[in-house]
Amino acid sequence: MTAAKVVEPVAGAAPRTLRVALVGNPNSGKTAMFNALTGSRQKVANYAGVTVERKEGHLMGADGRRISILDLPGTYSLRARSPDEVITRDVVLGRLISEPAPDVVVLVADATNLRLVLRLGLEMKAVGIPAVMALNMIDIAERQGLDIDVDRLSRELAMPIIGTVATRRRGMEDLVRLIEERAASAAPVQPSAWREPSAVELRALHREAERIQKACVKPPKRPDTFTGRLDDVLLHPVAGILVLLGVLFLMFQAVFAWAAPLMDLSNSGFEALSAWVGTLLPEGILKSLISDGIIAGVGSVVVFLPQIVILFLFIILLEDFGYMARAAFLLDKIMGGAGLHGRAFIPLLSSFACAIPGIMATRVIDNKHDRLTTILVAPLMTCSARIPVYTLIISAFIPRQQVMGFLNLQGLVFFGLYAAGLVSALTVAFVVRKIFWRSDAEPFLMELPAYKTPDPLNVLRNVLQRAQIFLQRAGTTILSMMILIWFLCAFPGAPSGATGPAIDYSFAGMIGHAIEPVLGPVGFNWQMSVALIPGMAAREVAVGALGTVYSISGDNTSLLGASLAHQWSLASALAFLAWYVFAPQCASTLAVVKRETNSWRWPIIMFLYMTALAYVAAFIVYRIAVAFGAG
Amino acid sequence: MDSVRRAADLDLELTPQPVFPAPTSLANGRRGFVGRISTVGAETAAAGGLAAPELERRLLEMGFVEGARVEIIHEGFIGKDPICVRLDDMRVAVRRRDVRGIMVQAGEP
Amino acid sequence: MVQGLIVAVIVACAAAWTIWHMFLRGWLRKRAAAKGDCGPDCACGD
Repeated sequence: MTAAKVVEPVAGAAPRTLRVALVGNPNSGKTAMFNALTGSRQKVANYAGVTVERKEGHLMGADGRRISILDLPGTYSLRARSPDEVITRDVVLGRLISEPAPDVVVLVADATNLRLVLRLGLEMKAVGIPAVMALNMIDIAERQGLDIDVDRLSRELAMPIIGTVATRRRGMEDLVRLIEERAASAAPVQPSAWREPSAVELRALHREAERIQKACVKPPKRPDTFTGRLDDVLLHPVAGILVLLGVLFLMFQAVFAWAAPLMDLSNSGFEALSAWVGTLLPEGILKSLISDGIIAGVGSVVVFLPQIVILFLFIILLEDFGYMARAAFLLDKIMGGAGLHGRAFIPLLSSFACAIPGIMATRVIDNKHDRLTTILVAPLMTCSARIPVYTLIISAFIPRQQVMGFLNLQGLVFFGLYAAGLVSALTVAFVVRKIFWRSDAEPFLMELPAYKTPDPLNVLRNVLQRAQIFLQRAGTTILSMMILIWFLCAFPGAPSGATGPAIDYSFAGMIGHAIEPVLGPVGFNWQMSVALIPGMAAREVAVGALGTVYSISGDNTSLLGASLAHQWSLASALAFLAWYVFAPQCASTLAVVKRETNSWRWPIIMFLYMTALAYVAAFIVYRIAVAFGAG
Repeated sequence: MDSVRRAADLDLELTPQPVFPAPTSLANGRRGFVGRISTVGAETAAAGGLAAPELERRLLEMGFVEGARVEIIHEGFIGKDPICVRLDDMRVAVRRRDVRGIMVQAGEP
Repeated sequence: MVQGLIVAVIVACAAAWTIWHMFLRGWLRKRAAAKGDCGPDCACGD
């Protein structure tokens, strides 16, 4: 049978696109397979109504027929346990309204670890899904001397099988040929043919898989001992923790130190752009909108791109290497104590750079409540946008002196603010779990994959994809918010003969004055209250906003610091710091939470609880400081 | 599927159960424990958790089935929890409380 | 005057975009999905 027979003999009409979906266990190299098949012709989006990532790409078949490839979330079974797995099941069974059933499903299997994928294959066979199996990482299996009776396996699972090495693009042409052949003989699936297997049926399936495994796979002559030996170190109660701390330290160092020159470059680039636009446009509101609103606003978010790229580089490298699962194992007890899943440390760590990629990274958590808890606490981690605010206030108010001979007081306060963020995040997670979702503790069941050398091309592609998603968001959601915030700060303009800064007369000024009585008890004056409104654009914008309300031209932060030190009391300054530890001063984060949770409920809850925490914290700090005579 | 199930049931009846030693819960195992799973069940964890049948199915899906060889190869550093288990030829990390219902027979038959 | 007009248009566009993407689109999709008449383009988020 050849692929040519599939093409409907309609003169002049292009043959229908062949729809292929990739299914497989986690860590089977499915995404590498997807990349090998589609190259750069891929598109990342979301499934309608859910926040599961939809990755689709395409390639041209041998006869010029278009083949679209859908990379489905990894799963162990069609009995879905998470939103991602629901998508996989529904697509495979053709149950999703927005997604026609695939013509052929490619079951991607790790050739060195077949047991669980055999059961998945049996499930698919039982429903009659037209499938092809790709025995991926066949090179590693060969190296281990693993003997797989492919013909027998193919008969048992009733699907053609091909050995592949996705990272080296080995076997891809043959796989495409098999797909085309299979499509020619495929009958459509009956979605009703599948129902959830019971425990008894699962056992039966396992037994069957076990029988096939015994019959078709001879145990490896040279089993992989490397993973075991490495695990002896990396999962060791002492050495493992030390390595983990080292990795985290390196990651931190990279995110902050390596990204700094790029961020400076990006900063000065946006400033230059703003200045250049300034010379082109006549003085007026249009210039203000473009340089102050759009360029400065979007620039203040895009400046995090280097950090995000470095962060995801680390995350993807560690994930592909197989270390992420180990780190989750080591941290599970700590995270579990706060009611979080071991995997939650990835998003929380990301949130130290910026809560936006952190919240995007919560997709690694399967359970809905675990994921929501992580999303809710992620903005409490000290993101790097808080650093300029902290730096400004600390350098203006905290004396540069030594404590106990070797500790720098300024550094100590800085560290304290970081610790406050971390501790409050874990505490809030604990409280949320205890109060709202007591009854729903997810079991921690995780396969620890064999260690593998990450494929550079694959890593690069995934990092670029993350960067693209972030930039897309900065160019759309964040851009429109920046324009609206600028509008609030620029209109209505100052009346002629006004003495105060223009922002004082704007909507933002009005809001600031309106909330001032509320913020009075925590020691905020009206300038601080007003600065909070443009500060919603991004936390560090508050620095510029304070400059605006105190009419300090340019970006002279040392002058601003001196001015603040003159006009604020120490108690107010400390209250401002406490406020910034907790307050939801970032419209972009709230927008991303809306996108990721697909509901307004969670951003609103987040806004309310963080504001309440910020208020209480600022109040306590202010009152204590006043009591100690710092008012 | 039906024929599969019948064959499996038959298999279960015919397999002689080893008589020694008494099965213990995998949750109590220490590092270095080697044995085989004699029964897979699930207890609903005291502090919430999944319903027992659901947990049982998840354990089965991860490969915790009767007859599988288990070896506890690593323990967490706080309270020796979670544990890393070599399950046939896979490595799986689990919390002790989730595997309370898995009974294991020590020794390598 | 011209500047004011351009600014007004940009701000209006931003407001419309925000309202469309953050509120209306999701609502329409949910409705369409509930009715079951959602085409393949539905999945093309962002």
